[in-house]
Amino acid sequence: MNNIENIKYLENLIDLYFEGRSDTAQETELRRLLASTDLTGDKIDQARAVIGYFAASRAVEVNSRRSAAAPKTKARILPRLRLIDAAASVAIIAAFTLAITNFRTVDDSSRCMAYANDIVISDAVEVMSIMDNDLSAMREASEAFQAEIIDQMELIDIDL
Amino acid sequence: MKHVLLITLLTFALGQAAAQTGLNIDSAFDGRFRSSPAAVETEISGSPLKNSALDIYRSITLTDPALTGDIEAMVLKDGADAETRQVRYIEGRLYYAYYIFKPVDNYRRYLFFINSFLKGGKKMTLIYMAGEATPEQIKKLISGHK
Repeated sequence: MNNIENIKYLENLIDLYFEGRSDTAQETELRRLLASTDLTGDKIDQARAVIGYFAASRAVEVNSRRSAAAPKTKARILPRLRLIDAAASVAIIAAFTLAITNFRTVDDSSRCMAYANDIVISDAVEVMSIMDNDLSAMREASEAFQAEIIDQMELIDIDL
Repeated sequence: MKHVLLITLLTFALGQAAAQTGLNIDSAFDGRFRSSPAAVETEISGSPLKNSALDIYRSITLTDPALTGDIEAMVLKDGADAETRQVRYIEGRLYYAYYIFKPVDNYRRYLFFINSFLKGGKKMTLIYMAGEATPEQIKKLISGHK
């Protein structure tokens, strides 16, 4: 078909459409031609505007229907998310329990080391000797502290 | 994916937390003194401590007074969380501190600090102990070292 024949064919479809005599196949063909060709003319342009308007309205309506249908999709996703959240909660509780257990057991593995001047001392006797010295310092300081407390208590008694 | 990342991070963080003392003095045991000629750090756990009812024993001894400031500040902060504390100051500086922290399921933590530089001495000692040892047992442990 040449352009003039195309225009006549299209205008004929438009007439049928607006007179309410077109069938579904003709309406589909009309919409396809209006959307895909660059044929112009008063009747064609008006039909394009009107049918385009309805097409746009229908698109909005379809989108609205899709939006309305969205909760159904969410309804399918939500249980999965809840499952993941539940699994995450269980994992966190398990990790926390393990951490608490580790707090008590992580150092159960024997370790006896000392470090000084970039030297690592792994001789247990030497390390325990350092510990003895530390505890002696603690004992002396603790005894001195207790003695001071007793002295202060006695002073308070005298004052009273 | 976010959940997996969150779980991994939490697990790692909790694991790290469990491996430490949970106190401010953690920073003192981060290895910062290990290369110093004026410091000795000890780390004892497990079977060497089986007779003391302790799980962990850690200490730092410093023989340079210039190094003591940070530890003193950490110990002062930890004092706020102690359940029992014996403290003595000399001229506004912390000289002596013995803290017992609130036990968790019979697991106790003890912190001891003495800065003898403030009384003409030659060292500062910091001791951290943790385990099921009661304060009475700690007292016996200390008095047994003369």
